[in-house]
Amino acid sequence: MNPLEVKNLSKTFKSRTFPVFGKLQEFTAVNNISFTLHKGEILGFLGPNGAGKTTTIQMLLGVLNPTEGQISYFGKSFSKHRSEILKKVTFASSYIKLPSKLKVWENLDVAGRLYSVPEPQRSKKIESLLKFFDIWHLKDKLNGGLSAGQITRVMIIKALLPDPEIILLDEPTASLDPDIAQEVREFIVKQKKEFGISILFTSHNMDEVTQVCDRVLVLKEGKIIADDTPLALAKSISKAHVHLKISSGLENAIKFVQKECLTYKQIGFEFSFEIDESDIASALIALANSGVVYTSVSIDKPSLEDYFLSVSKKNK
Amino acid sequence: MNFLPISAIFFRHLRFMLNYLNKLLFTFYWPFLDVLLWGFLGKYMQDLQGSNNNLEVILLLSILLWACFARLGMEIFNALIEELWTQNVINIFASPITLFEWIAGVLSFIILLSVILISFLLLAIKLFYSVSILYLFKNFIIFAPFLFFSGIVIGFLILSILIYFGMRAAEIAYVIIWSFMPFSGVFYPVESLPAWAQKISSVLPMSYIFTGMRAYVLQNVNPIPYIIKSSILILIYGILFLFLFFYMFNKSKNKGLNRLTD
Repeated sequence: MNPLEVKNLSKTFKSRTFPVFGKLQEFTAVNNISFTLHKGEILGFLGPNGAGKTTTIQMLLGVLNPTEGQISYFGKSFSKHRSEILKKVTFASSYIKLPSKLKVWENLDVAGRLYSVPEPQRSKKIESLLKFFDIWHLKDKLNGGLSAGQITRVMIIKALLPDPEIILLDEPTASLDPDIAQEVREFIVKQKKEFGISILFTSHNMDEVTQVCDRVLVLKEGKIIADDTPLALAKSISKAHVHLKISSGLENAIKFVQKECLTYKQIGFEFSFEIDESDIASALIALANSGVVYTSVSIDKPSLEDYFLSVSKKNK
Repeated sequence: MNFLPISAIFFRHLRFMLNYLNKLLFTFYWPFLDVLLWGFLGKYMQDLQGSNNNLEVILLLSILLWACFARLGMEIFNALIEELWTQNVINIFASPITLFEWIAGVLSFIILLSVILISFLLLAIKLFYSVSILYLFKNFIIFAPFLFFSGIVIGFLILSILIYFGMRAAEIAYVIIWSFMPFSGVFYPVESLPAWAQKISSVLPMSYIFTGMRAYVLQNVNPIPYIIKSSILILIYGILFLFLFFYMFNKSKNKGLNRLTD
């Protein structure tokens, strides 16, 4: 039994140009998507702005009713067993806040109670997580007085508090310092490995997605257009970037890339061009034969970011 | 019903009130000011008439009962406004808590608040007036539960609007609750109102309680018929507005609760 199964999920928003009498307009934000989150898997959720990621997450949390389709957690229908399911499903988002006039400890205590975490486990768990995320000293500080990074850490603690089986993380490391972000990533992977937690993960940081996610779903205009590992998606983009520092023969290099119809960029003696990975060796030989002398060469293999950019460009 | 989620809502609002002095001030200052203004006005008018017609007691009782209705009715929808204002609504409704548990949590906080508020106002009356607190309290306790339930019922009507329209309707919520005051006969008999306004009064549970209270204190008239009429209306509106709230909550989820904070 999979922790989460989504079948033919759609969401269409209806609105009128003017209240009551206006023309009815329809917008489909999520269009017939189906996917599965496996046990102990970190599933990345990628897509350009407006692709339907947030709408899908809202439906998965039960704060937005789907127009069509089924959501099942642990083999049970979400619409019929909402409360029972949500005890094991938590979330953290950089875009959702906790009450600013409540202290850190108070906010986490309220969250623990909401998820029916009994005492003394609740207090012990809050203490250990606050210490792990290095914000124990902030426990009596009002949430409104925290920095963006500290707020994000409190939100992640909130998500981990009830020992969930599934966590929905919406850009959890946005606004974190790089060292803390790395710690959070490592912590997430550790939770997955040690406790078999399944995680749905959205992020705009492609390196992060590549590092953390086992599989990635790519959404575009409300539809899933790809479902594969980050590596496989990156490999689907055949173009690599070759960077050269040219000491002489710059004109010949430009002539070469123009003749081969390659995309290139030149700033001073820094020269880079985009080429199929399989053609790199022959291109470098051809450049050398045409009198191009370079002092350094570096090659960027296609990454998930390249894939994401190609999807976004197609979107436009 | 699970106790822990209910306690979460209870402590969430209690701690907010204790941490935020403005909220404490807002809840206690205005009813206290009402006690001073209306109480001294009643005392002055009683002295002016040279009569012993309990005008001072009537006005003080009216203030206490109105506090039960309006202040505590307001606290119900304030609980939701507070979640919308702090963008906490998703944290609450994406948790396992049921809507009944949320309501139970809010009501348990309001019951505690009402006990503290009324005790505070009775203490203020003791300090500023020579009225017997025991006499005042005995009369108050007969009518207070019905005003309290009326406040809850009207609170649900306003919640139904807020849960669909979100922060855009926050100002309207306060307008609605205070708009009941002139038709409820808080400080004057509903017979003083024009005929069309009396028709509105006749469908408000609060108007029967204030009328019954005045008849009982001034003329020792049995208040039971007034209380029965008020209770029937509370029951009808209670069922109606509770269903309306659940219906509007689900309708709001068709558009997404996230939009409510916009």
